[in-house]
Amino acid sequence: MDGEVLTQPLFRSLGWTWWTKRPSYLLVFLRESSSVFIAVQVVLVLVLLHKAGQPAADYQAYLDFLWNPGMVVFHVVSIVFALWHTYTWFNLLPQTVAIRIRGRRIPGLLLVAPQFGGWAVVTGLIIAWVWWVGAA
Amino acid sequence: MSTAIETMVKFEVFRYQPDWDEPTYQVYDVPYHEDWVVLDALNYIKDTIDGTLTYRWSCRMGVCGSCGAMVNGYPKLTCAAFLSEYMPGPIRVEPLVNFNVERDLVTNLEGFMDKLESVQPWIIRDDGATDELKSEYLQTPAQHAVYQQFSMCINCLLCYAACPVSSHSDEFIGPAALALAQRYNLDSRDEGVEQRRDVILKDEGIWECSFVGECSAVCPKHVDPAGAIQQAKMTGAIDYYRRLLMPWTVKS
Repeated sequence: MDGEVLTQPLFRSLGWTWWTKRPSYLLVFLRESSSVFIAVQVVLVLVLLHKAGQPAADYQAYLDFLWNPGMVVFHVVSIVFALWHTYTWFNLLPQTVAIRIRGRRIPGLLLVAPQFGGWAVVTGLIIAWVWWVGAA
Repeated sequence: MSTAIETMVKFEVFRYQPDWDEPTYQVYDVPYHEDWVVLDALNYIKDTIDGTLTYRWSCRMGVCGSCGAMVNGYPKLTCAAFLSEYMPGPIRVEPLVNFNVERDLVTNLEGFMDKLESVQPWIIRDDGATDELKSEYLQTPAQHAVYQQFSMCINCLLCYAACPVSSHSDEFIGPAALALAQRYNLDSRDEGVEQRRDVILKDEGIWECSFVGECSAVCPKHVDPAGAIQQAKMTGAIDYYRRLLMPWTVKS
């Protein structure tokens, strides 16, 4: 080697299984993964709207498909993911938005609470509307 | 003569030299002291057991940012990691991940320095007074408070070691450099937003961050780089639509 010093860079990364290495990573991974379930839900709703314009038998067949046990499990998992995504995202807003009044940054709670309040109101209105349509 | 038996703690320290094919872990028994931090233990090893162990340190009080390492898998300043938190051990000490290892616990920081320089983390003035300030640039306490948190960075790079995006993208500018870019963009004395714009808004800039948030969790100075990046995203998005919808308001 005549005195030559070998230098090989040794790069150590978190690797592709990074999300398994800490609970905090896993929670973020689940937050981001939730978008897959929500995207599939959107597709299912779009197909439902399309089927609503088709003959009644087609529409009923699609409803039966949505009610099969596998799809029910999928819907339950999806709603859990949607709730988790919403909860985490609302709580991240204070980091994203820095609003200052008279030079002082407003407390995060003032940004988070209205979101949860608005969410509850909108959810209540939708449930009331569905109930009202069903009763009519 | 005291007969008390000294409590020992086992250290598994990452060892690597550039002419080695593979790194290894060397085990050292270190006496436990309640007031010792991991850096004290490393100094004990170097002074009394193995003088070949290589690592960086300087101030030992959480200011210089040079003693960062992975302690039991988490990025920590070794001068702030008390042994008592890890008892009964063993305590595994490794170099910060997401960097090339030079030797033992020492990582190569050249890539980071290039990224840091690319965001021009200094006050830029339209009047060309970057190198030599030409007058006083006054600032109120309220104006200072806007960026103060982001100015606390000590470049310890724990945030890069906690960032999965940095782990998979060598080009990602990363948490500390982007937080410092935001720090100067928010500084009322600075006029360099346009000059930093392209670097911050490029694909490897703020938009590559997926808001894992672990950079802020590990930051020993509570800088909140994740918050700085998200705030820069918000500013960038508003700026995009302003340029699109009201181009006459954009300074050429």
